[in-house]
Amino acid sequence: MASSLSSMASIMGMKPMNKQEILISKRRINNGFSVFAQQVQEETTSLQPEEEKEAKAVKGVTQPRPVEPQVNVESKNMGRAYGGQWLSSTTRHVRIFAAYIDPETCAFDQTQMDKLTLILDPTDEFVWTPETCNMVYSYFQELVDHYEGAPLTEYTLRLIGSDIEHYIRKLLYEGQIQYNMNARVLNFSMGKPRVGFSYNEYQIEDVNQ
Amino acid sequence: MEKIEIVMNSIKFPLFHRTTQNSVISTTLNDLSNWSRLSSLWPLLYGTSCCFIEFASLIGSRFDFDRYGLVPRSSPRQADLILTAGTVTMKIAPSLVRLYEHMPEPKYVIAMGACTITGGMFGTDSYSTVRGVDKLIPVDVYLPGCPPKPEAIIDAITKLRKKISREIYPDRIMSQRENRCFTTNHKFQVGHSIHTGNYDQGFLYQPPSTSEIPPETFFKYKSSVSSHELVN
Repeated sequence: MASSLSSMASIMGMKPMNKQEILISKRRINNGFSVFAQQVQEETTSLQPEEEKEAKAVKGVTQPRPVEPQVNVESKNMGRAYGGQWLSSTTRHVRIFAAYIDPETCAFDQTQMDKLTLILDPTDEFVWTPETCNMVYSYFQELVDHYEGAPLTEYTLRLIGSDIEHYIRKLLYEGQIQYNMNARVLNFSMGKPRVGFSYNEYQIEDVNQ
Repeated sequence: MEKIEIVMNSIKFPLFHRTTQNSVISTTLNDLSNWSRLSSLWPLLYGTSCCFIEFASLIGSRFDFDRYGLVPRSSPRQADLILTAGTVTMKIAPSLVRLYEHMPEPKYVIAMGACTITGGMFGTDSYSTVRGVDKLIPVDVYLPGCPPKPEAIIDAITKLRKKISREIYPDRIMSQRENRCFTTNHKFQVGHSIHTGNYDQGFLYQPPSTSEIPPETFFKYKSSVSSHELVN
C-alpha cells in the first residue's frame, strides 16, 4: 500500500522517480491493455538503455520540490473576508487555482491560501510522460518563486499561466511533447505539424550549374 | 546537397490496445447509442455577441432547429452541445471554461463565427480578445462566417451529427483521463478584498492605492524572466 502510494506520488510529480518506479509505471500502463508476457520482457529490456539516455538528456532541468500529500482534505470555500473569491487562470492546457486540490479525491480547499495548484492538460491534447510533466511543474515552480511578493490576483495567475503556455509551445516546437492522435478532437491548437528548416542550412541552388 | 528536414509539432499515436470485437451485436449497439445521441443534441443557450442573433433565429419557425432534436437548455448541466456564439474576450474566458466543465460528458463544441475560430476581425489589434476559442476548450466543428447564416449553422450541426455517428464506444470509455495535478507554495501577498458585502462604508471607505507594490519592482519580475527562452 505504501509502495503503491509512493509510486503514485512520484508519478504525480511530487517526488523524483527512481528507475524502478519508472519501470513499474510503464509496466502498469502496458498491463491495463493485456500485453503478452513476451512483449513485456522485450519492452523492459529495451527501455533500460533508453532511460539512461533520457536521464542524461534531462539533467539540466531541476526536479520540482516535493509536496507532502495531505489526508482528509475537504472542499472549502475562501472566507468572506477575502471576498469569497475564486482565483484562477484557465486555458486549454493550464489551469491554475489558488487552492489546494487533492490529486485523488479532487477536493478543492480554498482556505489554504498559500498554495497554488496547477492542473496540466485536462483535455489530453498532448501525450505526457512523467519527465515532461516534471519539466512543466519545475518551470511552474520557478515562475511562482520569481513572482514572490506580487499580489494574489487573477492578473498574476494569468501572467504565470500565459508563460507556462508559451513554455508548452516551446516544448512542442522542440519535439519533446507530441500531439495525442487518440484525442476525441484534433484541434492542433498550437500549430499544425509541419516541416521546418533553418535559414542557415538552406542554400539556394544555382540554376545554371 | 541534402537538405535536413525537421518535423515540427509532431504527432504521436499512444499505445492503445483495442479489444473491440466486431460482432453484429456490439456494432449495432454502438450505432444505436450514437444515433440516440446525435438525434437529440441539446445546445446550451449561450451567446455573447452578434452570432447569437443568428443562433436565436434558429429557434424561430423559419429555420427551426427543433426538427433536428435540438432543444435549447439554459443550464449547462442539461446541455450536451455548446455553440460558442460571439466573441470571447479575456474577461468571459474563465466563465466559458467553467460552463464547459459543468457540462456532463459526452459533450461537443461548435466554434461559431470568425471570432471564435481565430479572433476574426479582432485578430489583429485587440488587446483583450482571445484569438480562437480552441485556446480554451476543445472544438469539434469549426463554423466560419461573420456571422454564419442560419442555414450554415444547420450545416455545421449536420456535420457534427455525422461526426458523432462515426464514434466508437469503447474508445470513449477507455481513454481514462489521468489527473495531472501539482501543488506548490507561493509567497504572494494575500490581500483583503474590498467587496465584503457591507454597504454602509460611508466614512470608513478609503479608496485602495492603485498598486500595493511600487510599479518598478513589479515590472522587474516580468523583464527578469528571460525572454530568449520563450518562443518569439
